[in-house]
Amino acid sequence: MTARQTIQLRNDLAEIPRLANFVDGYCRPLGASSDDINGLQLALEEVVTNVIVHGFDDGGVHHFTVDLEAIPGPGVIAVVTDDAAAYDPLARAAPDISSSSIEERPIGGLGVHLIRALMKSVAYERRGDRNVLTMEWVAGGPPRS
Amino acid sequence: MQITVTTPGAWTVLRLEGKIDNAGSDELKAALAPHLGGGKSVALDFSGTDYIASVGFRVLMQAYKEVHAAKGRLVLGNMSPALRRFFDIAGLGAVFKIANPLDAVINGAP
Repeated sequence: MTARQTIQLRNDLAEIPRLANFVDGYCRPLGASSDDINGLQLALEEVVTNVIVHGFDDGGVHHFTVDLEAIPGPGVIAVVTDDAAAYDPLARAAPDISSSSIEERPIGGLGVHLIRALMKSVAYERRGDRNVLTMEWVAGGPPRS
Repeated sequence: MQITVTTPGAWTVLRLEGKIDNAGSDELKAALAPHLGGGKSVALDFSGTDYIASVGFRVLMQAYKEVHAAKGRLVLGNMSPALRRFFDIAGLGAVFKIANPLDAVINGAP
């Protein structure tokens, strides 16, 4: 079993490629395909982008962490922990994506929809002064939605 | 991301290579901007990418609206099954016109 690993990120969108490399480097030895890994990378990019763009409004430099821990599957438990103001991204109502008309498609909410669709489970918790988002990912799943 | 523009016949084709992540989406938005008005026929060749984040989908949705408002057309194509899966999960597989292969549309009837 691959040991748990942590990356610390700054609140700067330029950190996204470093996150992607971290995820790729952790997941590849687990036996996951690059297509599968892209799913986890995408979900984490959506979460981390939210933290970076909306989490801190004081203009200062902040740090937050992403932990990855391998589970059988192969899969990964990914945890994003930040000390921004309390914010539950999952509280947002799911967008209605049923229409095939571009005019009727909502522009917002797509990121959280992708996170939910790509992860086996997602849970938010406010722990002290931190937001903790825990995502369970299994290579090859979940079923196409 | 690397974006290469060619103009076969009446079409403007943007070939995308790399990740359509936050930075890639900004580059895509800038590369698309000159081609959205004027009723042009625009095609996006996705053969060099297998990754698109929600910000990239938003750029595509906005571009699609602008092209159609100008009576032009925007076709997406040459997607890998993995990339197509992201479009389907986003519920956008049936929203955009997607052609595999793209050449069938570009070389087809005007």
